Amino acid sequence: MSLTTRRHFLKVSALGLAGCNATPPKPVEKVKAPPHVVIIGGGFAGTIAAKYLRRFGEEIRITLIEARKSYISCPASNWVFAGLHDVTALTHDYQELAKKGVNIVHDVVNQVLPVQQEILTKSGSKITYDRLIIASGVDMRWDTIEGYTPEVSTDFPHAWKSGNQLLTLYKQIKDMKNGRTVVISAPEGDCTARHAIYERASLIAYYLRKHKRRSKVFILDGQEEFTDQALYEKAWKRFYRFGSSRRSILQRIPASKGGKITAFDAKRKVITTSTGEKLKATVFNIIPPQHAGFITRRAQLTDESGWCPVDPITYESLLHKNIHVIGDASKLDSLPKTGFMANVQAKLCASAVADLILERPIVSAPQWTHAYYSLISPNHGLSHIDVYKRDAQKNIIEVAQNTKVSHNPKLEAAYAQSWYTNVMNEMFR
Amino acid sequence: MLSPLRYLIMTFLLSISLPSWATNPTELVALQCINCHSTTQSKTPVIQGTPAKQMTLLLKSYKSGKLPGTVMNRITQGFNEAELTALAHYFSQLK
Repeated sequence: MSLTTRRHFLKVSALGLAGCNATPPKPVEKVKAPPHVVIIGGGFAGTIAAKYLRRFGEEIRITLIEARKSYISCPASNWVFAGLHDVTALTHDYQELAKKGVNIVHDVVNQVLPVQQEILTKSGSKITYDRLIIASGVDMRWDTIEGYTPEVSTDFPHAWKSGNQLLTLYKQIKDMKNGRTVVISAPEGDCTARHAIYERASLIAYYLRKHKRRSKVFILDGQEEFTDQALYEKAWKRFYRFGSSRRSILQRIPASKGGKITAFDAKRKVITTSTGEKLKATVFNIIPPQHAGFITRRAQLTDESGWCPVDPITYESLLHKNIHVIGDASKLDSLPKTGFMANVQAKLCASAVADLILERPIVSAPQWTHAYYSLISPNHGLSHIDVYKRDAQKNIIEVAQNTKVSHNPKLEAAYAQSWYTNVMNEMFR
Repeated sequence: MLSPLRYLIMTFLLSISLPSWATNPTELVALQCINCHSTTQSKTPVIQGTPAKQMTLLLKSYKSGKLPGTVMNRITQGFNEAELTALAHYFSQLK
């Protein structure tokens, strides 16, 4: 902190000197330049951090660095398959955030230098910060499926991040001939918002049932079981004849029956599973396991798990001072990686960062509330709830879980959609 | 024109009378509730401005299971009665 303060002092003194021709010298040493917080990433976590940092610390200078001018949200992107909304509903820009006094820089971050408190960008700028909030999300782990590379993923999309791969997947499924097959590969390892894989399969099945009645969607699942499985399977039976193998629109192959894929041959369009089987399909949506994004790994903010360990109150990295990590890239015990949790963490982090930088006592929330919805069909939603608290040792414990079956699937489908509208308004309006 | 120093003092004084930051843990929990319960028109009920007594009763009834809901029965399990009452008071003061 002392270095930073001195740097501010020097800056302010220089300003004072420049102005001394016009006005008599003033006791400028008491005036500090406003502290500067930089946020990297303009998704679910980054936009909310910017917005609430503005609210909690009016005197803070805020810069948000985001590569894209146009943001396509990954949450709610599955709903396009079911015709609930189109891509324009997922697409947003940063103009409103800019109007709120956040300096938006569209650039790619190449490197963060934690000791120098500097950020180097692709365009050649060097941006210094007093505190940095990283909300840069995840990268795919390209070392896990032989033959599935970043280049191959252009035509065989994972569509598991904001951006163009979603558009590719929509087009491929729309263009697919009736009777052909869609394969969704769910990873064995870490995956953000895993429930959304099962939602995606559901809503693709909904589309096929309506428009391509002889087609099927298969989930090749690298895991044996998944959260709330019984709820999903019950709904799948009702809507997609799940279980009756020949007539089923949606099928799931768990890890023990060959659900884990080990290789992909893009030329022949063939998947190899861990049981040695070779499977052909027309559309492949291959979702590899993920880890924290490139810049966090390059700055050595990640541990052996591939994620960034942080303090549960301030979200400050346990590995580098003055850098906070929120959203999918962060690691806080068992806290899930979803859009909802990213939003919650961003608010709590913004409050803590403002308190730290303005030297106020830190206020912390006793709970993290977490909710997500999955749509099985446009009018049938499932919800999942977790509430977490910290114990005396700062360990995170789950104090409420998804123990009860959904009460009203129709209402929950409606709530899912109003959640999305609310959160988009909060982020971009 | 205000000098930077006077401007800072004024901002400081203003911020004392009207703190814009979170001053208690309840507000930081409430910010999680507004993920779904926003003030804009949506299917999720608007809870801002509900009388505190009424909302405390609702939250406790969700927790006990007397009042069947969708997600609220599960969420309230993670809160004690004092926390629910504090949230009800917080939301009652919002518009």
